[in-house]
Amino acid sequence: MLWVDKYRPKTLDKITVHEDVAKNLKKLVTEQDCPHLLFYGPPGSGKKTLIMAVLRQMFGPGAEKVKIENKTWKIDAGTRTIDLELTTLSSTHHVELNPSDVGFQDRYIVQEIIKEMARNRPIDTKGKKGYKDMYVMAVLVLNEVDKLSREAQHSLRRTMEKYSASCRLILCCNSSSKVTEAVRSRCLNVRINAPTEEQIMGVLEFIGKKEGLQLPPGFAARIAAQSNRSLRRAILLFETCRVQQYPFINNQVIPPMDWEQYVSEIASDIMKEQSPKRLFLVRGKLYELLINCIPPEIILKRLLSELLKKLDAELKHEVCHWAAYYEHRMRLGQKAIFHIEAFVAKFMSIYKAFLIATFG
Amino acid sequence: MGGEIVLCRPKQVKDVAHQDEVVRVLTNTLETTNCPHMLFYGPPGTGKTTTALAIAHQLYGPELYKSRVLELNASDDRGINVVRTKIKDFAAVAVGSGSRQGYPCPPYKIIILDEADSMTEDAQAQCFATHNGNLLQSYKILFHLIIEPLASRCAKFRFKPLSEEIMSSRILHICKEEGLNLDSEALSTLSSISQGDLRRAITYLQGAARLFGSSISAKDLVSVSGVIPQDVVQSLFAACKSGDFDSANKEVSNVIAEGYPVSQMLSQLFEVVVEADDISDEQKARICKRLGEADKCLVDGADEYLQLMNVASNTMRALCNMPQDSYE
Amino acid sequence: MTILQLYFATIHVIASHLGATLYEWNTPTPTLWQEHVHNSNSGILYTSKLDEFETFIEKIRKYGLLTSSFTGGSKTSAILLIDDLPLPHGKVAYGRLSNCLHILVQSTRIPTVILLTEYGKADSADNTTRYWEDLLLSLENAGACKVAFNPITINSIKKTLSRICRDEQCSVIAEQIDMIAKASGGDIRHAITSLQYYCLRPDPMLSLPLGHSRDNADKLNPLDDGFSLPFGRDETLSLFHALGKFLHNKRETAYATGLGQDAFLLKERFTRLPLKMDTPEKVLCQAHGQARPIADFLHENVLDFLTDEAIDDAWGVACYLSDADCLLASPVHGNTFPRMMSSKYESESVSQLAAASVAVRGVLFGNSHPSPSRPAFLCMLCLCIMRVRFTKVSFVINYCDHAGGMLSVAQHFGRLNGLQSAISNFLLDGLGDDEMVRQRFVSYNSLSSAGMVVMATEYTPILKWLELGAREGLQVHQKLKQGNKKEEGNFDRMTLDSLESETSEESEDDEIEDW
Repeated sequence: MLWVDKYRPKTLDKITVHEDVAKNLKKLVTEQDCPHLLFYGPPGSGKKTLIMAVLRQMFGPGAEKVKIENKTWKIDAGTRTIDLELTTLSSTHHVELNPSDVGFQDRYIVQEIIKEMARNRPIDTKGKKGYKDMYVMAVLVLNEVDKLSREAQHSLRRTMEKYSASCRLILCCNSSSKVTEAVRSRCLNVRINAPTEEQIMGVLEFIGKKEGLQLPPGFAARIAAQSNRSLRRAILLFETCRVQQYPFINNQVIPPMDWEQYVSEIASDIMKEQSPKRLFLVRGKLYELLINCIPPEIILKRLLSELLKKLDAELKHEVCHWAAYYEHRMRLGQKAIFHIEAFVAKFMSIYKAFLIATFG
Repeated sequence: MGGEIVLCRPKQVKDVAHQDEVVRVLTNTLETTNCPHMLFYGPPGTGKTTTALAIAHQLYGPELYKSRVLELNASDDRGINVVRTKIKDFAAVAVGSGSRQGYPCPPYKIIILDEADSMTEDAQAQCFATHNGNLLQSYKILFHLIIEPLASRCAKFRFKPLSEEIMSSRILHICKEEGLNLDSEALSTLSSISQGDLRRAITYLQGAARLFGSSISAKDLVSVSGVIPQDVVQSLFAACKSGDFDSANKEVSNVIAEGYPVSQMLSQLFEVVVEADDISDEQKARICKRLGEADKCLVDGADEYLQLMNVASNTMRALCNMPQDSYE
Repeated sequence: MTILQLYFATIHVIASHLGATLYEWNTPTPTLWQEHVHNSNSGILYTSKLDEFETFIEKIRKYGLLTSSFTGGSKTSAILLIDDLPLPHGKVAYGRLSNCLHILVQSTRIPTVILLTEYGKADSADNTTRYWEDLLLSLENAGACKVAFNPITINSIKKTLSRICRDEQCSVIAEQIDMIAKASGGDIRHAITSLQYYCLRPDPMLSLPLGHSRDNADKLNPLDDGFSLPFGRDETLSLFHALGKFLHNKRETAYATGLGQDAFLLKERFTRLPLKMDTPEKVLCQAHGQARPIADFLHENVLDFLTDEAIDDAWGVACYLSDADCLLASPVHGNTFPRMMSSKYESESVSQLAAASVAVRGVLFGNSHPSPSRPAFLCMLCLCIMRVRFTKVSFVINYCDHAGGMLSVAQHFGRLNGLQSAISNFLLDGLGDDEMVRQRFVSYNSLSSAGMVVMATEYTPILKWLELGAREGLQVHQKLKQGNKKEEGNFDRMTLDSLESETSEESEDDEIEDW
């Protein structure tokens, strides 16, 4: 088991990073009927951990006994029936799924599952001992709601009201601006900020102590600095370092993610030469990243930050503008490679003009 | 959900806050009990649904309300089939007149279509075909979305946005009823963050009450509403003013890491820019143009970091009078 | 070099002159790839046309025309006619065909006529013409007598047409005959068919007095178009030929005179020399290309056609392609309001057309310094590979879409290395739905599921470091799979098929690269 999971706090009481949020949630869950919840915040900030802890608070340890299912739903859409497959994670009390996995047909999934859950609501009305009686209703955890299509979000708001007597929704997403106002206003919004570097260091030291490891001074701080304020990444990096070399040495290298390494190679390729031939080479490398399922916008962002590191201030503004421009185009278009490549070509063109102007 | 909001709705048309003209006309209409089809429009949270419900209550009283009024919410399925069947079925059964228990009970029924603008065009067309019931429409800002044949059959009522005092008095009233403690700072914060939308104000209040208990501070309200604390916005703005790209980059990264919604950031940045005294109109125009573009991009699903970064870089160039680039 | 057109008619004339019976090889119905894929499950083996031809030749050699002469009766002489030779693809197939024909020529005991049709050289983007030349040579070496047919001159076509008109008593004026003859491109069969078709049409012109028809002919006649001809020669270009045209971007060396005066004056960096081709949209239309594959193909190949210095051009092209991509996707967006639904279908096709046009013109315009003919060979190679792969690769891609489309292999379509690595990566790593499911639950010990993004960017690299992903994850996945037998079977079959298609591709690649 990875440390990320081993040291994941299981209950709201044990959560240290978002202590105040956890406290409020506990009050909310234990004292009164819980509304629909919307958790939002950057990746690695602890949304999932909080959700799991809330579920446990509601249902007791039973919420942790989950099984993975690959379910097929037959959906009657007017003239034809659609078969949709989706992998779900469920316990007797809750179901968790990523509705955006089914692409543009996500709206059917959302409605259908909620309907089904409402139909099969647990008949056993006696709550478990020590847990609130009122949580006989099922909970549906929807991940990545910001990736849901607009239609799906609309159908969500309808279902949220219709079945609010029999089930509760916990929504989870990275950016709440991509969730429609209608859905947001029907939920209690909980913002989860990324932990600060100090908090991350605290967690790392805690894990180090539990594992009986000697941390050289400044080591935790370096990992925290490299983690982009993502606790998950920090712990993963920490474990990698442990596997790589222990006892830790003072200036131990913290290995970067392989794809990040690759992106920075691409960046230096771009800086070295600006020609169609080089662009072709870069394209090959970009394909390589895409094949490995690295999302194009993340590639673009990473590439931008690598390029910005090497640029003079005067060029930064323009490069930044084009990155934003092509990322937007990428959303509008279908094939990411076209747009990333256009960005790279634009950069090369700007940079070459700059070099010629500066050095002749 | 929504229980409190329903509780707070006034039961009489004359109690509807701040919509004096509408109330005056409506009260007259109600006295004659001869009401035309009506179309209510105006920004969200200004009392359209409330008024519609109040009319229904005043006309029929609690007893007949159920059988005489059909309420179709935005959240209901309102494709053409629903309009055709539900409304027809409802309107098909004729009813007699004769007042009961002091309520006029006119011989027609009322159908309330909430948020009519989100109905499909076909369904709207069907609406006026089955127009023998009485139709009350309450809907949002997008007036042009209602098709003309439907709009022309209705008496139109425009609802004004609520002023801050009205909001405050209404909120205080609710707090008293619900037993909540709200200090004056929290009260003014609430009326400013809800931007004249009473429903939103009540939703925030409700959320804060659930999460933080009965005494609510301004900070609690801000955190529930998703509004970004002013100091965060200010520090981003200051970084842009400094002309240092890297410090702006750091601020932007911070905003993203803290999980603030960027669309909200843009609108708050917009307010800061518009209200600032020390920048010229041309600079404001440059900044606002990009703000608008970024907002559209966000709606299209563009990446938050890149868009905010682009806005920050553009703002910086405008504020520091750097040359406008050829690509703009 | 020599243009060979042996017409049926000639053979028939000869045969009747000699009083000989004509025997033909009955060509088999071609099997479609999809059909084969469909059949392969039911155990029907695939036999190529070449295979059948070989068995036919074998039979002829062994038994002569025994079987047929049995029904044909008496001892009249016979002529064997072989038309429609199998089209060889690749060296091996060509070797078999030529070997086969060689044996036939040497061993045949009856007069045999082999028909080879040479299409216009320009039309064949690939190297099939070279095959035919070699084949011809080897047949001559084996002792065959070559009779070359030149394309029929327009004059003689006109004569023939006028004669037919006289015989059939239809009034077609000389200009029209002239135009039909010109449009036929030396193909008399085509010219006659066109004429017949033209006479059938209830044409208002025909009812007009002859004196007026002259001016009217100019006005009404669709022939001038050369494009919307109802009866001209088929102007269809092969898609790859068209794409090649765009990529090569051939231009005149100077402006045509007379155009300069009234033309709108452009800044130098916007001016381009006139194109040595029809308007791009017309070429596209002739090639029957769809916007998406065209944009993809241009994107994959255009960089090779830029000079090394021209990074600005590269950006220009990339920018236009990016626009085209947005246009291609546009109907999906802008769909926020229900009222737009109705117009969705019309706008789709328009935006498709616009996208193709933007892509093509972007490539033509953006490449302001078309590079000298350097990449010609590479391009040819690419085109051939594309052709071979089109069907098979799309199969793999279809599967990917089916698998949830997380991995869009379609993105890697076309380029030799890119495609190779895409497919091999896809197959070897099993990076489909399967892998995703596996990855998703690998580390979590099924407490909660992680997003794809987190999986790809954080867990996978770390698990690679830790080298423990595979075992543990697989177990979880196996459990999952047992509950889904149907799924599994489906997947395995698909994998096999894709593998099969890959191996066959590889052998074919080798052949192509050998040339």
